Amino acid sequence: MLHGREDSRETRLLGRDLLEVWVRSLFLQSAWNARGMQHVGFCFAMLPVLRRLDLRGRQARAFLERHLAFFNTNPVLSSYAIGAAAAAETRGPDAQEPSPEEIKSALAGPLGMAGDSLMWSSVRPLAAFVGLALALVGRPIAGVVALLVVYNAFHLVFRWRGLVAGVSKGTAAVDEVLGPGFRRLVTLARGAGAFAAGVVVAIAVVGSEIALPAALVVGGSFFVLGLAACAARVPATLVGIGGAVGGLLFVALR
Amino acid sequence: MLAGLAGVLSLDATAFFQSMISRPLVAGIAAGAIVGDLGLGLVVGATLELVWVGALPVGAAGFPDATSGAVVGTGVGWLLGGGGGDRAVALFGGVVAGLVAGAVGRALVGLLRRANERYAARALAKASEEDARGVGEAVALGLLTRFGLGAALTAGFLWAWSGLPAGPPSSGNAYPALLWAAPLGAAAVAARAKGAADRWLLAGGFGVGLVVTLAVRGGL
Repeated sequence: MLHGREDSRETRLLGRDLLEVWVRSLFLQSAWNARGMQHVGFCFAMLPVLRRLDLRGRQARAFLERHLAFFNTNPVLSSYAIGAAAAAETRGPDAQEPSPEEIKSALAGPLGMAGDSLMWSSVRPLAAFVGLALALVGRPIAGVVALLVVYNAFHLVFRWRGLVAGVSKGTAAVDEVLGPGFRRLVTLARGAGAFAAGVVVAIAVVGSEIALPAALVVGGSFFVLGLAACAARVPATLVGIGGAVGGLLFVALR
Repeated sequence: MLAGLAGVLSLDATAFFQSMISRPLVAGIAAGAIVGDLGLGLVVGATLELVWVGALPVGAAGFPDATSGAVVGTGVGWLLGGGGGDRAVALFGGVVAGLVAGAVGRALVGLLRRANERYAARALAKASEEDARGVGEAVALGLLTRFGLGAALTAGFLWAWSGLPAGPPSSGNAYPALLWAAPLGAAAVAARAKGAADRWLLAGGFGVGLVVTLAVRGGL
């Protein structure tokens, strides 16, 4: 296997290299496609490493081809894989550690599972419902700020922490997102999101300015319909159009 | 301006950063600020946020273009209701137009992905010639294409709608805003719940929210 460097000396990444890798990692999905998924974005994030290693000719080609190979994981936790791969590139071929390719393929699955479960299934709904609750009680700007703050408190921390942990610990960094502490965080965020969702429904019921019993019946009916639609895997857009028509009919018939 | 807003914000959906400024609540309020009707943007954005709260951009799955949907919805609502008075028709039309625009945007994501595949192939070809510039070019072209699709989708919808007659004049607060959308959003959360605790928390949130909002409004 051809590593980036053919000599065995280790090259250290500087702080500004890491910062540039981090900023570039935000473009991970810019050229997302079905064939290589996040491969272009991953390679784009690694370009400061290529520059630091000062690779030329076939070494540069091998580096580029390594990092343009298929890659897909959760974009937020991708920083762990990017950091670990960057560190592996700096160690040279004699190091007794996994190669960048092995690291990428070993980390993509666990990071994807952990990241999707935290960021998409837990933090995103939590942020949305906190923002909605504030917006619906007449504080739209505070709602927007709250949505962005809640989501990005997790997002930015994991993006940076993952990169630093990946560089310093290599593949062992993934233990951070597979341990009980991380699972507790997911449980907490998901529970808080569920609670906030309940609050938003209550605000909508009271704010609808319909007599409370009728509003509860209408809200309850739509909740049951929504659950049935989720179970039947009906697209949310179709359910939404049905809901909008139902809402208008209710107004017309009332 | 609305097309530009949709183009810029839709970059955040998947292509760059993903800080959530692309969410319908944010995009709807921003569009509402542009047309001078924050309340319209809030309700359209909040409604679409609730409908699509469970639609996730995971892996190769398709997902609605929620950003363009919120901007189109607010724009169409404004064109329908003239930005003032009764919201029934404006909100209904805006929300439905936003949902349809989001669904059309979902189909356009396929186009974007095919374009990205071509950019990536070019980057690979350049890499085999030991040229790293193709990678940056693919990223830039991917961003540009994403911006263009969001802006074109929004401009197309608003242009098509502007040729239609405006809705009837508004009169009163007739639309039970969000009464139907909020339970749908909560249902998406309940369907993903991993255990009884989450469902109890949802019910608890509803109970606490009901008591507090009724108390604040003097209903208790």
